[in-house]
Amino acid sequence: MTFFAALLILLTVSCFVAGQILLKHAMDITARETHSRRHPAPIFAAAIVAFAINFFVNIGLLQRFDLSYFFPFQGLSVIMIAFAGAWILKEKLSLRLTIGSIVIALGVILVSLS
Amino acid sequence: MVSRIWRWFVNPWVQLAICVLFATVAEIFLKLGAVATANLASAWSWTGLAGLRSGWVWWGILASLVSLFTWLAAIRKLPLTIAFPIANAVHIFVPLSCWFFLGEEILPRRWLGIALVLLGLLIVAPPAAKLEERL
Repeated sequence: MTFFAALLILLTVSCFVAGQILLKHAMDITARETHSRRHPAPIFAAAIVAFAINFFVNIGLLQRFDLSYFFPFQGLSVIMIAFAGAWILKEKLSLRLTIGSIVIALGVILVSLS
Repeated sequence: MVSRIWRWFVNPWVQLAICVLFATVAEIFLKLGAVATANLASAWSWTGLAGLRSGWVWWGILASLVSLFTWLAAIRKLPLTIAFPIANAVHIFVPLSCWFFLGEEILPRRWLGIALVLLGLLIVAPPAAKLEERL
């Protein structure tokens, strides 16, 4: 794998994680009882942009590599979302939840390998 | 009675379960539709657009939409750090459904992966149960 390919894989996983974080942030705004000054629509739009980049970079990767070669990297998204949720969304991340996420990520990587 | 069923239905855990179920159903339907319309000789086959001729694909799209909206409903109430690992249960249900409904083979390494995802879900379950008490 070239350095550029590794960067693209990192970009696609990061965009997927960013999309999920943005979606969650937008849904948090809609869930608040009080009227927030922030509107969720631009955040939804940013999430869609992140998912779109993820989608097209994925297709670009598929044109160059076997699905079973780079799809297992998607398993990393479980770990990245756990940490990004704790860091950006200030969600509580216990040791148990971290270990559970790592085990699930390993499972996803093994399932994805053909 | 109706309000009790509605309250059960809008529970974020129920929404998450529906999300996982429909994500699995969508994958199976899309696979059935893709196989039914496959014409690899065509230059345009890589676009997947031929799949739109299959009713299975449209049912798959509908199931994907149900999965998306139930996911949004679930994360409206649940922390992403709990909801996302649980949503990865699709990596158990999709291979098992492929094996059961489509007759696809599951290699030992994939069985091991399924077992690991299941183990991870069991590890995540107590924090999720604690959260349920607070909801």
